[in-house]
Amino acid sequence: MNKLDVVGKREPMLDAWEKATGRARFTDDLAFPGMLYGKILRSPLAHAKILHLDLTGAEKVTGVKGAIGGEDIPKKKYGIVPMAKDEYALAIGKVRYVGDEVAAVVATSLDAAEEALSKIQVDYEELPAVFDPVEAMQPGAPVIHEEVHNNVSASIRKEFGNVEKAFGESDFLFEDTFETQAVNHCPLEPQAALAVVDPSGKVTLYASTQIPFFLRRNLATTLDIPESKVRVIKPKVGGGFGQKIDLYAKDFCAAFFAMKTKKPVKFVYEREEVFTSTRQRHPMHIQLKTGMRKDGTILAQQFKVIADGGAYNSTAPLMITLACYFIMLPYRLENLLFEGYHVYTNKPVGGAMRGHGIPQVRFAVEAQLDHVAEKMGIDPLDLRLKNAFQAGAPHPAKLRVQTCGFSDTLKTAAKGIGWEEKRGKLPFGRGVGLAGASFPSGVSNMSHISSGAMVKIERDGSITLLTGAADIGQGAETVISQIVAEELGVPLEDIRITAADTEITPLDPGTFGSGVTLRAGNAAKIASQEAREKLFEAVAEKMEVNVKELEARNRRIYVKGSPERGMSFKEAIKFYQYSDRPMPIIGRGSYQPPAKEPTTLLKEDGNFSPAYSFMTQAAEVEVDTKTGKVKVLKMVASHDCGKAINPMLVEGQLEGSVVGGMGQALYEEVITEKGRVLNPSFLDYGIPTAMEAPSITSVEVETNDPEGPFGAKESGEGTQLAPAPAIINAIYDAIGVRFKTLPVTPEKILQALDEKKKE
Amino acid sequence: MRLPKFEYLEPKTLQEAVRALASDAKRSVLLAGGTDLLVNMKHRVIEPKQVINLKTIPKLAYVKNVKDELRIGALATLHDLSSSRVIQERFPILSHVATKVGAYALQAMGTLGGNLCQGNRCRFYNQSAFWRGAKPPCYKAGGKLCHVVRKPGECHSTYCGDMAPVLIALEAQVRVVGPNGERVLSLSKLYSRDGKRPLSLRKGEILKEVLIPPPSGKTLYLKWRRRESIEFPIVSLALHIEKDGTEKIGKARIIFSAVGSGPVETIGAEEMLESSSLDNRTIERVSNQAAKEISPMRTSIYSPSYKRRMAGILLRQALENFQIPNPK
Ligand SMILES: Cc1cc2nc3c(=O)[nH]c(=O)nc-3n(C[C@H](O)[C@H](O)[C@H](O)COP(=O)(O)OP(=O)(O)OC[C@H]3O[C@@H](n4cnc5c(N)ncnc54)[C@H](O)[C@@H]3O)c2cc1C
Ligand code: SF4
Repeated sequence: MNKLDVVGKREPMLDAWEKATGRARFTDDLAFPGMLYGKILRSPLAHAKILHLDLTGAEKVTGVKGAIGGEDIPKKKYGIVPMAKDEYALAIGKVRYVGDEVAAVVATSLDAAEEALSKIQVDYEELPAVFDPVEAMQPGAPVIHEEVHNNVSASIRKEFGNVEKAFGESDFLFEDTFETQAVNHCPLEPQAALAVVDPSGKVTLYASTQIPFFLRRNLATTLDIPESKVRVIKPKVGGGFGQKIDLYAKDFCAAFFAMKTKKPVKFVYEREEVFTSTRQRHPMHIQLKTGMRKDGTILAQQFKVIADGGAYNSTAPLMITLACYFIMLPYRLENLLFEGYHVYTNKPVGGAMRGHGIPQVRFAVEAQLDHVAEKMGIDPLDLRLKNAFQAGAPHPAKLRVQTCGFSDTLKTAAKGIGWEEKRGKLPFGRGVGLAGASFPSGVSNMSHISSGAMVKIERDGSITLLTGAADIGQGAETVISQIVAEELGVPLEDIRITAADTEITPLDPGTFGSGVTLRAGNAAKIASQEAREKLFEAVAEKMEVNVKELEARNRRIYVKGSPERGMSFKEAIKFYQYSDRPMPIIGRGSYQPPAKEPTTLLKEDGNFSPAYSFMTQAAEVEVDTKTGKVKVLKMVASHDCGKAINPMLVEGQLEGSVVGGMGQALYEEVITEKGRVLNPSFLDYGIPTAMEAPSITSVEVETNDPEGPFGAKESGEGTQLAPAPAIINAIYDAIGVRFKTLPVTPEKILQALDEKKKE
Repeated sequence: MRLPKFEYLEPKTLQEAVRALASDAKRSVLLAGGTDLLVNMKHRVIEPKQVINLKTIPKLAYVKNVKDELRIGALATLHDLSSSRVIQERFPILSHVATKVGAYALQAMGTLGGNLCQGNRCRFYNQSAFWRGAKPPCYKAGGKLCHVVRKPGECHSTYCGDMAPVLIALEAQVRVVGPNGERVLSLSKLYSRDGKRPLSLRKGEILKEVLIPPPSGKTLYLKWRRRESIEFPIVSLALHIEKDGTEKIGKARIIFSAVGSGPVETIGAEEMLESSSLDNRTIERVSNQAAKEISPMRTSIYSPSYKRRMAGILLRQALENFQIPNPK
């Protein structure tokens, strides 16, 4: 590949300064004249019939401009996965968890809105509730959604190869049960929406969202208005981690009240609401059986997974499907039997969260593999290397893996942590561990998953880029701008970007499935090339050379190999203009991942993603055997991201994933008691802080994927899969205890050490 | 979450504040840094008619030596404590503990007076109005029952402050000003050990300053929490030890936080330590005794048995630290 000027460079995020100086404007920073403030009344009960809802008290509060219940807003179900829609903007007839939306009010001040909530009368008839998914599946368990039998709202049973036969041929069989906990995404910016209606009746919704275009579509269908009457604009977003790929009452209520009152309406959730009433990582109960051949080959695996979905579906079918298919990467696995259930309970709702169904099963596999290795007398690293998937190998579910740096990530992570010197050799209380994983770089084959971009070359030589990509803090706008700058041969500072406005920018599915860089990056690349070609044609004519001989670089366009034979970018634009070519110079790009064997995986196998990332994380921990506290000393995150368009941003993702993984492994849990969240605040819910962060080394393994822009694959969600099991495996190395239930708190460690002493 | 409506007062003198407070004591609160009070007000567990701001009263935020005694004004912030030269030199343990309270932002806002007078905590009480709405209000929130222990009339909410245990170990006293003038009492006596009304302040009384006698012996503070920032202690321990001139222990003070309705001194364990030498057997016995002596309640997400266990472990660690010739 040619030497690159902008791509591959450590560029600070374009809006870093804005954020660091407090100038960045998030949804809650926006205000319009006459704006009303909205609040939502939530159910205090886990499961109850709404017998009567009386809003008159609220309506009488001075300043209140409207109060509604589920019956007052169009009664259309919404949901992010069309086949799994099961939620109303506000509850109709019954509530299914503590925090379920019952009514909404708007008022001229937040004080009045809060006061109004306290004046709403609701008569409930409490229903028996169920909080454990295994109990919820039993016959006779409380019915949470009338139409759903045994509370199983999504399930999958898939077999690849022949598991029974493979177990028969196995030399060793291992069976374990694992449990993972509920974890909240904790974006620093809570969910927010601000709706404004213009005189024509069109609603503009400013929303803290990862999916502006899906939000537009769902607003239109749910509120029964044409899509053309809805515009969604994403201001700066303070993190999402998957929680904001969903739709919430705040979106529908803001738009509805704005239409009704003709006034701007803002809803912002409290932190408590983020914990109780948005989404969380599904707790899973995982039974795993693995068959091994003597030589260390993983012959077969059988899973039974029960995911606690909480009261609604959100992404249920997709989540459980992803959990299944991504068992078959990053290791070769010919025989898999996967049985998975998404079960309703009267608890906070599960949803997509960084890794989306995969981290839980990955934890089970990686923790068990370490145990397998020990029992078989094989080094866990060697066992992984032996079974590592390789590029181009046939895949049982027909995933098409063109590039795969997994083995390299294993080796570099092991080297970085000092595996040879340390594994099994450190003093009691200290240990190292590692774990691997793989993730799709976006979703290939759902026909609506494509991205567009438009690149305008302005007369002053600057570039205007329009992209639908939704930057939620990860730096998508920076990365896409780098791609455009590289293609046009201009520095990054020449790019102005407008993004994620459904009225102005081209279609984009949004930020999920780790597809933004590949998909929106490719669209922008194509658009830049088209614009560049137009300019090149003019320059070629003037210089009497072939277009193919030209190159754009350092704000110049010249004959390849002889920079002196050419002209500046600006001169080229001037010439283009004066040669009576049509202005403006616009390049357009649309990109859809190739869909050779169409699949959403929900119905049939096929190539799910255009490219797959691979990774290994290695941890070194110190366990204080007197108090049970684990200190993560060091993490090495080695990631095959294809090509790091911006290494600093890849590092940002890896560092975030380490702290997130520490949370999942050691600190975090949304604790509920009879469906009520006991710790709905940053004080009581323990996300690790900077004080807990270990020393982190990031290693980018580059494999230059043919499908990715400049070879890039994902480095977002996937990074979150390996750190937790790596830490758990390191704890085993340190104290010889295998933990199968997360999080591993100091209390559990003390108990385990006690039991170990007794043995 | 918004604050409830209230009348707001900015007295110019402490006397004025005392008068205002005494005039309607039941329905008035004092505001210092607000880091504890305002959260409780937003949660609607405190809904005062009148908020009296102490911060506008001049000259209450001092740190000074008066003869041998150290005096700290109630309005000195925790950050003042950790950055004060005088304290760093004479009572490094105090500056150390101040850095352990919550997180930096809380130390910058929070005052020593507010820290000592902060409300007791309970997982059923320190929650939003919405959260508490599903259950009838508990005793402390003005209701008729307790969700932790089904015994009527008693609130077991827990004192979780960090500064009090150490200051009690240092034998600090507090000067309070009230309608009938000033009085000085030992800090330990400031706490009533009644979960519902945890302070023994009388009607209209305001904490003015903390008085600390000259340092003697050695003091250690161990705070046990999940993370190294933000959190209250799951359990914490102040240990103060003075040798009797020989190798034996002359005086010992063992005070825990977050295990009772006020700071908890384990007198039995202290007596066991006094005139003993710090051998391993003593350490074992004393730590077991202390763990037995406390009776934490299930007022947080941590179980009483875990708190008890950690209390013993902390004390063992602290005592072991004293075995070393030059402890930290
Ligand atoms: C997230 C979070 C974490 C925290 N972590 C900790 C922690 O780790 N350790 C800890 O000890 N505390 C912690 N706190 C509690 C609190 O922040 C501190 O205790 C702080 O020092 C309180 O001081 P303040 O000036 O803000 O008190 P305020 O909130 O102003 O007052 C607290 C109470 O004391 C009363 N009061 C204040 N001054 C006086 C006075 N001079 N005389 C009589 N009564 C008075 C007030 O009326 C009020 O009832 C935490 C709080 C939060 C929100
Ligand atoms: S201990 Fe009982 S009375 Fe006291 S705050 Fe908790 S629930 Fe309320």
